[in-house]
Amino acid sequence: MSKRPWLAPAILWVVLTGLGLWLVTTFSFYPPRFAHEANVSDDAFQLLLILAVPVFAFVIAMMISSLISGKTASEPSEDGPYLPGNQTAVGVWMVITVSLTILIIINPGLVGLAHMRGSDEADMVVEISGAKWAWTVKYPEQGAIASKEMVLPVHKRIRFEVTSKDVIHSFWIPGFRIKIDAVPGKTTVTTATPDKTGSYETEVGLRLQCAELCGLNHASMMMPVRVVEEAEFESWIAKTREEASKLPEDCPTLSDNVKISAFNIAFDTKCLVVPAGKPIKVTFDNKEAIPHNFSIYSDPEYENSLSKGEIFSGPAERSFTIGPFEAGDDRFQCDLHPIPAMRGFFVVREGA
Amino acid sequence: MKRVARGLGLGIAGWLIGLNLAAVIRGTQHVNDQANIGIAYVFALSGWLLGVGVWDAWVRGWLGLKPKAEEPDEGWRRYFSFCTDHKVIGIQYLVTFVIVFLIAGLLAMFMRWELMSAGETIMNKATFNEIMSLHGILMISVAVAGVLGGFGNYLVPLQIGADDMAFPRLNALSYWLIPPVAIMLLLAPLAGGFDSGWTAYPPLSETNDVGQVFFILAIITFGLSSILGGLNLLTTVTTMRAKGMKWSRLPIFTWSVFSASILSVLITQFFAASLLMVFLGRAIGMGFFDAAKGGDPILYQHLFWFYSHPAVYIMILPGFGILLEVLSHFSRKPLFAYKLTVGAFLAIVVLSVVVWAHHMFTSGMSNTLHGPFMILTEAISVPTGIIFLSALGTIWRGKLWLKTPMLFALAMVFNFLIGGITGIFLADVATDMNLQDTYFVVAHFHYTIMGGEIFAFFAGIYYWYPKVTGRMYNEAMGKIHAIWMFIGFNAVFIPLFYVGVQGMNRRVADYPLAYERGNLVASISAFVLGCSFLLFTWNMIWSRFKGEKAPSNPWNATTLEWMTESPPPEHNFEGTPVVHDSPYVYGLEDGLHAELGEQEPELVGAGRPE
Ligand SMILES: [Cu+2]
Ligand SMILES: [Cu+2]
Repeated sequence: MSKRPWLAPAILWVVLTGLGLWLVTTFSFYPPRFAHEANVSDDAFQLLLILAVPVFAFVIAMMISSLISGKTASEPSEDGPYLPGNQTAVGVWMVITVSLTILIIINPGLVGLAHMRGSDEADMVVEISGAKWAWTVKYPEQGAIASKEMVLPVHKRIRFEVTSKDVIHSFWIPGFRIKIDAVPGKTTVTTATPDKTGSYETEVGLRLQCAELCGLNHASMMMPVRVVEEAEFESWIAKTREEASKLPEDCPTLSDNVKISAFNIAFDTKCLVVPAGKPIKVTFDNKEAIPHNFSIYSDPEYENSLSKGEIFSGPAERSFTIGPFEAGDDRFQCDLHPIPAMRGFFVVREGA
Repeated sequence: MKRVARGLGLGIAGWLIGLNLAAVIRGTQHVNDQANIGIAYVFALSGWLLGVGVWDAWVRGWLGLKPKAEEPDEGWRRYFSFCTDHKVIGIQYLVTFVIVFLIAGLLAMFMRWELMSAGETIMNKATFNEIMSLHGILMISVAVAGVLGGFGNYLVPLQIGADDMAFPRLNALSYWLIPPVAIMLLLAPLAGGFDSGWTAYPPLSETNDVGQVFFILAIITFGLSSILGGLNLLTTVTTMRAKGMKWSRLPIFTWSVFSASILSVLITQFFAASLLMVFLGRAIGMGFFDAAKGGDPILYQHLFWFYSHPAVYIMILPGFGILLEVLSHFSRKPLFAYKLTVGAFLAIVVLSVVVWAHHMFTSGMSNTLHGPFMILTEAISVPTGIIFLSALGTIWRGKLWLKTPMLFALAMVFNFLIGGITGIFLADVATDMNLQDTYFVVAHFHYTIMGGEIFAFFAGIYYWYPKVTGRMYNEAMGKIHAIWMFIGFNAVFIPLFYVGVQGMNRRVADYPLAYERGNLVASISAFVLGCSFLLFTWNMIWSRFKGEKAPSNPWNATTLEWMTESPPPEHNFEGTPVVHDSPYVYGLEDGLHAELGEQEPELVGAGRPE
């Protein structure tokens, strides 16, 4: 046994640490970041990684040098030295591990926590609602609703108010590095400040992905996200509002016996025309194993309910009678999926 | 054999009687009525247990009936009987859970096959979700009971110099509670399966198919088995130690089993209770977790993780025990910092029950919980660090005898190092906000549980194989298996860390095209990893019959299990073990852990503490 048994592992440790630090600082494997919070999260990751390198290198250096100096294929003829402990080694080890632990608790630990969860103050609120297996995005201040994509203005601190209509889902935008569960019966909150424009077509991280197992179509419970300049955001809002309030040109002819079907979380029609003052027979064909219903509202905000439909899963067909209604431009929707694809006009006309 | 048949018969009869009785009394017709299924299961479980041995072992005595003459089961039939020998029960556990491990591993291969490329490949989403959930819970059961039930039962009495466990009949009962668990989990797909993962979060687990009820009943039963097993191990270690076996002389594996058993006994009921509440929600509409009825879905997660976080220490502590045991004997050196390491085990036991909510940083729980749970979780790195200190101090300047168990042990140090370090990233709120529920988590816990505990499990299988079977395994095949499994394992899970950081979430049957490359590598590696177990299985079976006869102490190790024949006689030792010193007396001229004294009449079959 050489006089300095610690020399070989010490050199190996320095070499491995150097190599490791070079690797983790040269190669960046983080996907593109699109929000301030993403920088906080990735910085924390990088700091932990840098701190981990010497720890990892130390264990590996000790293992390699012990193996090289002591390995035998056949049964050892003699025992190793009687070394049941060593106060200095234990003391140094404890001081180092405790200090490292305190260090990571403070930074990135508590510092990162303050950044990510410090305040709910924001420039703008977006309400997110999950239901098996789709997201609804509501812009309460702008009065718009989206279901095909979520569009956000850049450089605005946004508060996401998240809830669910059925099971637990989770609101996650990988490009923002933020996540919060959508829990039925309560509203959870998280904030993000997008700081770069981009869209899902070119950036896979710009998507609103459900991250909590929620049943059959959990894997595809995803909505593209687009971060745009403020002017573009305003015009998108205006366009979305206009589309939502415009009566379609191809409304069907008046009938007191209407049929509607649901498939792929969408109704097959955007418009129904029915007579006033008469009960209306509705035949609702739910073509998929996802629960839906068919409800009528008198206002474009979908707040004043005129008729609530029974929620049921398909494939199944139910017939029921609703009304009579007074004349007016009412609306219908699936209460579980209040998205444009599951909303439409319920036009009640006098006469005939 | 006869008893197992009787148990099955009474079990099926109990099921039918319970189902019909419940239907008549409650006036329900529907076969799928969940309350009726619950009642039927209680009848079936009682029938099974009575038939398999409870009647003969307990009930006849309670009723004042003449005890039935034991039908002496011989040879392989012993393993299909209500045998109270801890060694038979240990083997029953080991074989059962190796088989469950292989089945669950096969399910993982199907998942990796499906995930090899984006889009639907070989199965639809419903099937994927069910296979994923089944894989999860089966592997959890292997991790909880494979080492603790298998090696704990077989070795703890031997290592402490006892002739059996403290409660032999209870021990048999703990094992015979396991087959109904397996049957229920494997029958669940016939009732629609369960697609809520092994975590079974409500409201999903309250609204999915009836297969979930099978899951709930199985896991409550499994919990009962864990509690009884843990109680038995605690009592055994406390009261059955040989003369001179002070607490400070306990082999480290026994200490690890003791620590894990404390957790088993104290926390398992939280999982059972939370699942019972889910069952009551499903069956009769009690809304513990239903917001519309004043319940809270997040409450379930607190209860669930109050068990399930410490449960990972029920899994990994005995893994550490095997690791340190193997490292010491195969380095021919005393275990480094023995007392500090035992202290670390006990510190982990205490800390592990106050860190659960680090699984819930993104759950929407109160913001005031984040800081404390992050701090406490990161504090666990200190006792975990001590285990690394002990491992490294032990191999330092040792004579490393590179037999198969040693290869697995060294591999485990490497794997668990990665598992432990990546755990920090998930304990940190800023990084966990992003990484929670991604493949980073999947890779992390596979590094700790599979790379850690399961590698230790295999180290233990090879280490004690000669003792248990009386035959040597094939060394060359064993070494190839160790290296093959190590490379295959790392090749599967390193890419999964990468896809996780890139933004792929877990528990998905499909994913965006961008993550295809990493998944392809992981899938191909998974098949490589899977094939290594064919070699293992062949080695185990072949060596059992054709292997060289094993001497009583092939490794020249010091602990008591090596001082008796391989396999040990029914009463374990020819003579009375007397302990003189620590088990790790390497490098000493006159080191002697223990010796077998004369058969002193007053001590026969006792091995009570001095
Ligand atoms: Cu979801
Ligand atoms: Cu719907």
